[in-house]
Amino acid sequence: MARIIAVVSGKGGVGKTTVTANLGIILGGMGYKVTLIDADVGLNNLDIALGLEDRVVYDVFDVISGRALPEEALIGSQDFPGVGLLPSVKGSEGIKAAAFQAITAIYAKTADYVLIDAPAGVEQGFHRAVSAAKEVVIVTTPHLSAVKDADRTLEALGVYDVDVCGLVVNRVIPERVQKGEAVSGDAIAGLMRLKLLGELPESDEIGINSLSAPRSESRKAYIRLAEAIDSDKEGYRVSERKRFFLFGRK
Amino acid sequence: MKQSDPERRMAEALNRSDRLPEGFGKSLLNDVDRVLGGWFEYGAGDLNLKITPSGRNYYIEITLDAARLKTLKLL
Ligand SMILES: Nc1ncnc2c1ncn2[C@@H]1O[C@H](COP(=O)(O)OP(=O)(O)O)[C@@H](O)[C@H]1O
Ligand SMILES: [Mg+2]
Repeated sequence: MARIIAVVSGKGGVGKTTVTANLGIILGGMGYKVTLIDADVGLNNLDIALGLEDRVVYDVFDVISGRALPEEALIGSQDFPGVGLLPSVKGSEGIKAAAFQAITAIYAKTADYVLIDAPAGVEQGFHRAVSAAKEVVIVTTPHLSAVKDADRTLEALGVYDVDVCGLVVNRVIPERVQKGEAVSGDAIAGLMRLKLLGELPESDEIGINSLSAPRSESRKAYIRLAEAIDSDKEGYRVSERKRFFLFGRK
Repeated sequence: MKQSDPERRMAEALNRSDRLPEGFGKSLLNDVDRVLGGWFEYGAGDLNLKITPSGRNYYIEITLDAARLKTLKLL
Protein backbone atom coordinates (compact mmCIF):
# COMPACT_ATOMS: atom_id res chain seq x y z
CA MET A 1 0.00 0.00 0.00
CA ALA A 2 1.46 3.30 -1.11
CA ARG A 3 1.92 6.50 0.81
CA ILE A 4 -0.49 8.91 -0.89
CA ILE A 5 0.87 12.44 -0.68
CA ALA A 6 -0.79 15.56 -2.11
CA VAL A 7 1.51 18.47 -2.93
CA VAL A 8 -0.39 21.67 -2.15
CA SER A 9 0.42 25.36 -1.78
CA GLY A 10 -2.39 27.88 -1.78
CA LYS A 11 -0.70 30.29 -4.15
CA GLY A 12 -0.05 29.30 -7.75
CA GLY A 13 3.38 29.31 -9.35
CA VAL A 14 5.36 28.50 -6.20
CA GLY A 15 6.63 25.15 -7.49
CA LYS A 16 4.11 22.40 -6.71
CA THR A 17 4.39 20.82 -10.14
CA THR A 18 8.18 21.12 -10.20
CA VAL A 19 8.43 19.58 -6.71
CA THR A 20 6.02 16.75 -7.57
CA ALA A 21 7.95 15.87 -10.75
CA ASN A 22 11.45 16.06 -9.25
CA LEU A 23 10.53 14.32 -6.02
CA GLY A 24 8.91 11.54 -8.05
CA ILE A 25 12.04 11.10 -10.15
CA ILE A 26 14.31 10.91 -7.10
CA LEU A 27 12.02 8.45 -5.26
CA GLY A 28 11.84 6.35 -8.43
CA GLY A 29 15.65 6.41 -8.60
CA MET A 30 15.77 5.16 -5.00
CA GLY A 31 13.98 2.03 -6.21
CA TYR A 32 10.41 2.87 -5.33
CA LYS A 33 7.44 2.48 -7.63
CA VAL A 34 6.02 5.99 -7.92
CA THR A 35 2.75 7.06 -9.50
CA LEU A 36 2.35 10.76 -10.22
CA ILE A 37 -1.21 12.00 -10.63
CA ASP A 38 -1.88 15.39 -12.17
CA ALA A 39 -4.86 16.77 -10.26
CA ASP A 40 -4.46 20.30 -11.53
CA VAL A 41 -7.16 19.83 -14.12
CA GLY A 42 -7.30 23.52 -14.88
CA LEU A 43 -3.59 24.07 -15.53
CA ASN A 44 -2.31 20.56 -16.07
CA ASN A 45 1.41 20.62 -16.74
CA LEU A 46 2.94 17.74 -14.84
CA ASP A 47 3.45 16.07 -18.23
CA ILE A 48 5.36 19.14 -19.44
CA ALA A 49 7.47 19.32 -16.27
CA LEU A 50 8.53 15.74 -17.03
CA GLY A 51 8.98 16.38 -20.75
CA LEU A 52 6.38 13.70 -21.50
CA GLU A 53 3.68 15.87 -23.08
CA ASP A 54 4.07 14.20 -26.50
CA ARG A 55 3.43 10.81 -24.96
CA VAL A 56 0.02 11.58 -23.51
CA VAL A 57 -2.64 9.15 -24.72
CA TYR A 58 -4.98 8.60 -21.79
CA ASP A 59 -5.81 10.83 -18.87
CA VAL A 60 -7.55 10.78 -15.51
CA PHE A 61 -10.93 11.00 -17.18
CA ASP A 62 -10.31 7.93 -19.35
CA VAL A 63 -9.50 5.88 -16.26
CA ILE A 64 -12.55 7.08 -14.35
CA SER A 65 -14.85 6.40 -17.28
CA GLY A 66 -13.33 2.97 -17.88
CA ARG A 67 -11.93 3.75 -21.32
CA ALA A 68 -8.45 2.84 -20.09
CA LEU A 69 -7.20 0.45 -17.44
CA PRO A 70 -5.35 2.17 -14.59
CA GLU A 71 -1.95 0.65 -15.49
CA GLU A 72 -2.49 1.21 -19.21
CA ALA A 73 -3.03 4.93 -18.70
CA LEU A 74 0.32 5.48 -16.96
CA ILE A 75 3.12 7.02 -19.01
CA GLY A 76 6.58 5.73 -18.21
CA SER A 77 10.01 6.72 -19.45
CA GLN A 78 13.40 5.00 -19.47
CA ASP A 79 14.83 8.26 -18.15
CA PHE A 80 12.76 8.00 -14.99
CA PRO A 81 12.85 4.42 -13.73
CA GLY A 82 9.98 3.48 -11.45
CA VAL A 83 7.90 6.53 -12.33
CA GLY A 84 4.48 6.42 -14.01
CA LEU A 85 2.46 9.52 -14.82
CA LEU A 86 -1.30 9.81 -14.99
CA PRO A 87 -1.92 13.06 -16.86
CA SER A 88 -4.98 15.22 -16.55
CA VAL A 89 -6.78 17.05 -19.32
CA LYS A 90 -8.14 20.52 -19.61
CA GLY A 91 -11.88 20.40 -19.28
CA SER A 92 -12.01 17.55 -16.79
CA GLU A 93 -13.06 19.90 -13.98
CA GLY A 94 -16.30 17.96 -13.65
CA ILE A 95 -14.57 14.93 -12.13
CA LYS A 96 -16.19 14.10 -8.82
CA ALA A 97 -13.96 13.99 -5.78
CA ALA A 98 -15.32 10.54 -4.91
CA ALA A 99 -14.29 9.19 -8.34
CA PHE A 100 -10.84 10.70 -8.01
CA GLN A 101 -10.51 9.18 -4.55
CA ALA A 102 -11.46 5.78 -5.93
CA ILE A 103 -8.90 5.71 -8.76
CA THR A 104 -6.18 7.03 -6.45
CA ALA A 105 -6.89 4.10 -4.13
CA ILE A 106 -6.46 1.70 -7.06
CA TYR A 107 -3.05 3.15 -7.92
CA ALA A 108 -2.03 3.05 -4.26
CA LYS A 109 -2.43 -0.74 -4.24
CA THR A 110 0.43 -1.30 -6.66
CA ALA A 111 2.79 1.59 -5.85
CA ASP A 112 5.09 2.69 -3.02
CA TYR A 113 4.34 6.37 -3.49
CA VAL A 114 1.41 8.14 -5.11
CA LEU A 115 2.13 11.86 -5.45
CA ILE A 116 -0.79 14.12 -6.36
CA ASP A 117 -0.01 17.48 -7.95
CA ALA A 118 -2.79 19.69 -6.57
CA PRO A 119 -4.09 22.93 -8.05
CA ALA A 120 -3.66 26.30 -6.35
CA GLY A 121 -6.36 27.61 -4.05
CA VAL A 122 -8.60 25.74 -1.62
CA GLU A 123 -11.59 25.20 -3.89
CA GLN A 124 -13.06 22.16 -5.61
CA GLY A 125 -9.85 20.97 -7.25
CA PHE A 126 -8.03 21.20 -3.93
CA HIS A 127 -10.77 19.16 -2.30
CA ARG A 128 -10.50 16.55 -5.02
CA ALA A 129 -6.73 16.22 -4.55
CA VAL A 130 -6.63 16.32 -0.75
CA SER A 131 -9.61 14.07 -0.09
CA ALA A 132 -7.81 11.37 -2.10
CA ALA A 133 -4.58 11.75 -0.08
CA LYS A 134 -3.43 10.46 3.28
CA GLU A 135 -0.61 12.96 3.67
CA VAL A 136 0.16 16.44 2.46
CA VAL A 137 3.33 18.36 1.66
CA ILE A 138 2.94 22.14 1.60
CA VAL A 139 5.10 24.12 -0.81
CA THR A 140 5.75 27.84 -0.51
CA THR A 141 8.32 30.41 -1.55
CA PRO A 142 9.78 32.80 1.06
CA HIS A 143 7.48 35.59 -0.16
CA LEU A 144 4.94 36.97 2.28
CA SER A 145 1.96 36.48 -0.04
CA ALA A 146 2.89 32.85 -0.70
CA VAL A 147 3.41 32.11 3.00
CA LYS A 148 0.09 33.72 3.88
CA ASP A 149 -1.68 31.54 1.32
CA ALA A 150 0.18 28.46 2.53
CA ASP A 151 -0.98 29.23 6.05
CA ARG A 152 -4.56 29.58 4.88
CA THR A 153 -4.19 26.24 3.14
CA LEU A 154 -2.87 24.69 6.34
CA GLU A 155 -5.99 25.94 8.08
CA ALA A 156 -8.22 24.46 5.35
CA LEU A 157 -6.44 21.11 5.81
CA GLY A 158 -7.77 20.96 9.36
CA VAL A 159 -11.04 19.46 8.15
CA TYR A 160 -9.36 16.55 6.34
CA ASP A 161 -8.07 13.24 7.66
CA VAL A 162 -4.55 13.91 6.42
CA ASP A 163 -1.17 14.18 8.10
CA VAL A 164 0.82 17.24 7.17
CA CYS A 165 4.34 15.88 6.53
CA GLY A 166 5.78 19.37 6.54
CA LEU A 167 6.82 22.40 4.58
CA VAL A 168 9.03 22.82 1.52
CA VAL A 169 10.39 26.32 1.00
CA ASN A 170 11.28 26.72 -2.67
CA ARG A 171 13.33 29.38 -4.45
CA VAL A 172 15.48 30.29 -1.45
CA ILE A 173 18.33 32.74 -2.08
CA PRO A 174 20.75 32.38 0.87
CA GLU A 175 22.40 35.77 0.31
CA ARG A 176 19.04 37.48 0.78
CA VAL A 177 18.39 35.59 4.00
CA GLN A 178 21.84 36.52 5.32
CA LYS A 179 21.24 40.19 4.61
CA GLY A 180 17.93 40.02 6.48
CA GLU A 181 15.98 40.79 3.30
CA ALA A 182 14.25 37.42 3.18
CA VAL A 183 12.95 34.98 5.76
CA SER A 184 14.65 31.59 6.11
CA GLY A 185 12.86 28.29 5.65
CA ASP A 186 13.41 27.50 9.32
CA ALA A 187 11.77 30.74 10.40
CA ILE A 188 8.79 30.21 8.07
CA ALA A 189 8.31 26.64 9.25
CA GLY A 190 8.56 27.89 12.83
CA LEU A 191 5.87 30.50 12.28
CA MET A 192 3.59 27.93 10.67
CA ARG A 193 4.48 25.34 13.35
CA LEU A 194 5.43 22.82 10.69
CA LYS A 195 8.41 20.58 10.20
CA LEU A 196 10.77 21.95 7.55
CA LEU A 197 11.21 19.18 4.99
CA GLY A 198 13.79 21.29 3.24
CA GLU A 199 14.72 24.41 1.38
CA LEU A 200 15.20 24.30 -2.38
CA PRO A 201 17.51 26.80 -4.03
CA GLU A 202 16.50 29.41 -6.57
CA SER A 203 17.93 27.98 -9.77
CA ASP A 204 18.31 28.97 -13.40
CA GLU A 205 18.33 25.38 -14.48
CA ILE A 206 15.11 24.33 -12.83
CA GLY A 207 12.95 21.52 -14.00
CA ILE A 208 14.22 18.04 -14.62
CA ASN A 209 17.38 19.38 -16.28
CA SER A 210 18.69 20.41 -12.90
CA LEU A 211 18.48 16.80 -11.74
CA SER A 212 20.54 15.35 -14.56
CA ALA A 213 23.64 17.30 -13.53
CA PRO A 214 24.98 15.04 -10.76
CA ARG A 215 26.69 17.84 -8.82
CA SER A 216 23.94 20.43 -9.09
CA GLU A 217 22.71 21.92 -5.86
CA SER A 218 19.09 21.36 -6.87
CA ARG A 219 19.75 17.67 -7.25
CA LYS A 220 21.34 17.48 -3.82
CA ALA A 221 18.44 19.43 -2.30
CA TYR A 222 15.89 17.13 -3.92
CA ILE A 223 17.67 13.99 -2.75
CA ARG A 224 17.61 15.36 0.79
CA LEU A 225 13.93 16.26 0.40
CA ALA A 226 13.17 12.71 -0.69
CA GLU A 227 15.12 11.37 2.31
CA ALA A 228 13.31 13.75 4.68
CA ILE A 229 9.97 12.45 3.42
CA ASP A 230 11.02 8.81 3.10
CA SER A 231 13.02 8.34 6.29
CA ASP A 232 12.46 11.46 8.37
CA LYS A 233 16.00 12.75 7.84
CA GLU A 234 16.89 16.37 8.48
CA GLY A 235 15.85 18.62 5.59
CA TYR A 236 18.30 20.46 3.35
CA ARG A 237 19.20 24.09 4.06
CA VAL A 238 20.45 26.16 1.17
CA SER A 239 22.97 27.87 3.47
CA GLU A 240 24.73 24.50 3.93
CA ARG A 241 26.38 25.08 0.59
CA LYS A 242 28.04 28.24 1.91
CA ARG A 243 29.22 26.48 5.03
CA PHE A 244 30.77 23.73 2.96
CA PHE A 245 32.85 26.25 1.07
CA LEU A 246 33.85 28.03 4.26
CA PHE A 247 35.29 24.94 5.91
CA GLY A 248 36.73 23.59 2.69
CA ARG A 249 34.90 20.81 1.00
CA LYS A 250 36.42 17.30 0.80
CA MET B 1 16.67 36.34 19.20
CA LYS B 2 15.63 39.53 17.51
CA GLN B 3 13.35 38.94 14.56
CA SER B 4 14.37 40.51 11.29
CA ASP B 5 11.86 42.93 9.80
CA PRO B 6 10.54 40.63 7.06
CA GLU B 7 10.19 37.93 9.67
CA ARG B 8 8.20 40.18 12.02
CA ARG B 9 5.93 41.22 9.14
CA MET B 10 5.35 37.58 8.35
CA ALA B 11 4.61 36.72 11.98
CA GLU B 12 2.05 39.53 12.10
CA ALA B 13 0.47 38.40 8.84
CA LEU B 14 0.03 34.90 10.25
CA ASN B 15 -1.65 36.08 13.43
CA ARG B 16 -4.18 33.39 14.18
CA SER B 17 -6.31 35.26 16.71
CA ASP B 18 -9.30 35.53 14.37
CA ARG B 19 -9.76 31.79 14.25
CA LEU B 20 -12.51 29.79 15.87
CA PRO B 21 -11.95 29.12 19.56
CA GLU B 22 -11.14 25.58 20.67
CA GLY B 23 -14.19 23.64 21.72
CA PHE B 24 -16.47 25.37 19.24
CA GLY B 25 -17.47 22.07 17.66
CA LYS B 26 -18.22 20.49 21.00
CA SER B 27 -20.68 23.18 22.10
CA LEU B 28 -22.38 22.89 18.72
CA LEU B 29 -22.70 19.15 19.27
CA ASN B 30 -24.16 19.67 22.71
CA ASP B 31 -26.84 21.81 21.14
CA VAL B 32 -27.52 19.19 18.51
CA ASP B 33 -27.77 16.52 21.18
CA ARG B 34 -30.12 18.60 23.28
CA VAL B 35 -32.43 19.25 20.36
CA LEU B 36 -32.36 15.90 18.62
CA GLY B 37 -31.08 13.36 21.11
CA GLY B 38 -30.35 10.94 18.30
CA TRP B 39 -28.52 10.70 15.05
CA PHE B 40 -28.58 13.68 12.85
CA GLU B 41 -27.83 14.28 9.22
CA TYR B 42 -27.41 17.65 7.65
CA GLY B 43 -26.82 18.44 4.03
CA ALA B 44 -26.35 21.69 2.17
CA GLY B 45 -25.52 21.21 -1.47
CA ASP B 46 -22.59 18.84 -1.63
CA LEU B 47 -21.70 19.21 2.02
CA ASN B 48 -23.02 16.50 4.28
CA LEU B 49 -22.73 16.12 8.01
CA LYS B 50 -23.83 12.93 9.69
CA ILE B 51 -23.75 12.58 13.45
CA THR B 52 -24.21 9.14 14.98
CA PRO B 53 -24.28 8.54 18.72
CA SER B 54 -22.42 5.46 19.91
CA GLY B 55 -22.64 4.83 23.62
CA ARG B 56 -21.52 8.08 25.20
CA ASN B 57 -19.55 9.10 22.11
CA TYR B 58 -20.51 10.65 18.83
CA TYR B 59 -19.16 9.99 15.41
CA ILE B 60 -19.39 12.87 12.99
CA GLU B 61 -18.76 12.09 9.37
CA ILE B 62 -18.31 15.03 7.07
CA THR B 63 -18.45 14.50 3.34
CA LEU B 64 -18.16 16.97 0.51
CA ASP B 65 -19.08 16.06 -3.03
CA ALA B 66 -19.61 12.50 -1.70
CA ALA B 67 -15.93 12.19 -0.74
CA ARG B 68 -15.11 11.81 2.90
CA LEU B 69 -13.45 14.82 4.48
CA LYS B 70 -13.13 13.60 8.00
CA THR B 71 -14.62 11.40 10.66
CA LEU B 72 -14.48 12.90 14.11
CA LYS B 73 -15.05 11.11 17.35
CA LEU B 74 -16.36 13.25 20.15
CA LEU B 75 -16.34 11.99 23.69
N1 LIG C 1 13.69 26.69 -7.50
C1 LIG C 1 13.27 27.35 -8.59
N2 LIG C 1 14.06 28.27 -9.18
C2 LIG C 1 13.65 28.93 -10.28
N3 LIG C 1 12.45 28.73 -10.88
C3 LIG C 1 11.61 27.83 -10.35
C4 LIG C 1 11.97 27.08 -9.19
N4 LIG C 1 10.93 26.24 -8.89
C5 LIG C 1 9.97 26.46 -9.82
N5 LIG C 1 10.37 27.40 -10.71
C6 LIG C 1 9.61 27.89 -11.89
O1 LIG C 1 8.46 28.56 -11.43
C7 LIG C 1 7.37 28.33 -12.34
C8 LIG C 1 6.17 27.78 -11.60
O2 LIG C 1 6.48 26.49 -11.10
P1 LIG C 1 5.39 25.34 -11.00
O3 LIG C 1 6.08 24.14 -10.47
O4 LIG C 1 4.65 25.19 -12.28
O5 LIG C 1 4.43 25.97 -9.90
P2 LIG C 1 2.94 25.53 -9.45
O6 LIG C 1 2.76 24.12 -9.87
O7 LIG C 1 2.97 25.72 -7.97
O8 LIG C 1 2.01 26.47 -10.13
C9 LIG C 1 7.87 27.38 -13.42
O9 LIG C 1 8.23 28.11 -14.54
C10 LIG C 1 9.09 26.75 -12.76
O10 LIG C 1 10.03 26.36 -13.72
MG1 LIG D 1 1.20 23.31 -11.04
